[in-house]
Amino acid sequence: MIKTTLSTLALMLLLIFSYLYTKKQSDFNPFILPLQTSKGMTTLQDLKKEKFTLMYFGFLSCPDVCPTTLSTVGAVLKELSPEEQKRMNVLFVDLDPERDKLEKLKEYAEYFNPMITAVSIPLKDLEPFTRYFGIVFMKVPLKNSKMGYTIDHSTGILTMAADGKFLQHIEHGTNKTVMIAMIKKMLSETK
Amino acid sequence: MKSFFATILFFSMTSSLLAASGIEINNAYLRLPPPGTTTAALFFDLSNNEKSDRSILKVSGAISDDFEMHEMAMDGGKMSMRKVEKITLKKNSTTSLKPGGFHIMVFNLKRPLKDNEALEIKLELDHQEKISIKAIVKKDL
Repeated sequence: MIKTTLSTLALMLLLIFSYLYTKKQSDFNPFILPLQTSKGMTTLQDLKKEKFTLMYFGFLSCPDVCPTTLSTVGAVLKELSPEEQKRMNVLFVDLDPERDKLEKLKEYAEYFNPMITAVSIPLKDLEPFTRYFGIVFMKVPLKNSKMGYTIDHSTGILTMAADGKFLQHIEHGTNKTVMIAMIKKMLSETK
Repeated sequence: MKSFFATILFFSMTSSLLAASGIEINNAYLRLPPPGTTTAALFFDLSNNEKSDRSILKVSGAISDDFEMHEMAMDGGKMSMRKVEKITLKKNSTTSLKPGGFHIMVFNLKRPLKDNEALEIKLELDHQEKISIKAIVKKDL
């Protein structure tokens, strides 16, 4: 009898906790999260206001994928008209907050194009933030490496309209010409 | 123009000298790291013209004490990178160290690099063979 009561109680507690846990998760709103960026403290809500957002996730010691994508993005931005440029909100969200400092991120992002804003989010917020956008990242220890660990991560570019609606996903490896066409099209359609 | 031909001559001579061992290295370049980072990646094409497989065991150079061999892979839109202990060069074929695959990671660069600068890099292969190559620093795109 006592055993049944106890296990019922345990089950109830488990249900309450899991409810609270998932509730907490779903309460997370990436748009109002205070963001430390290379252009000061802000929120995604303010950044995306009346703008077309392009978001890329990476980290500083990323040798290959991140510089390749950012360099293409940087070149693409130069090809847009001044009006189009004004409507762009381009973010480089750091996935290695334990190692990467904002001032370095700023230097790095602006090297590819001064229009790119570096965003640094503490790890505890970074997890729900990336989950919201369907981005995965994983800290992976590297044995006998000076790097210590690396970050496996999604490589696509996310695009979003001013109302927060997700637009076309830009895959890694998309060349400059194709990317220009995709962005120009999305810009014209979200006016 | 004269110096242009001299450069061509120099590089073709270097290539043919390297070919003597049955291992030929071409198109060696190091991607100029953006400011904010002291990590760079080195790429080249390696032709193994010998009758057996060979492997690269170690890479070194004056610009850093920390050269490592890494392999990058893409899986369902996710990038992952792992350190490898050697890179195998299949017999009678060319192995390309390139973005998206095998590459040499150079950590903790001792000094900032310049676009177009030539760097001397040393490779250690199996059978105790050592090869020196020149890698050109290249800015993106």
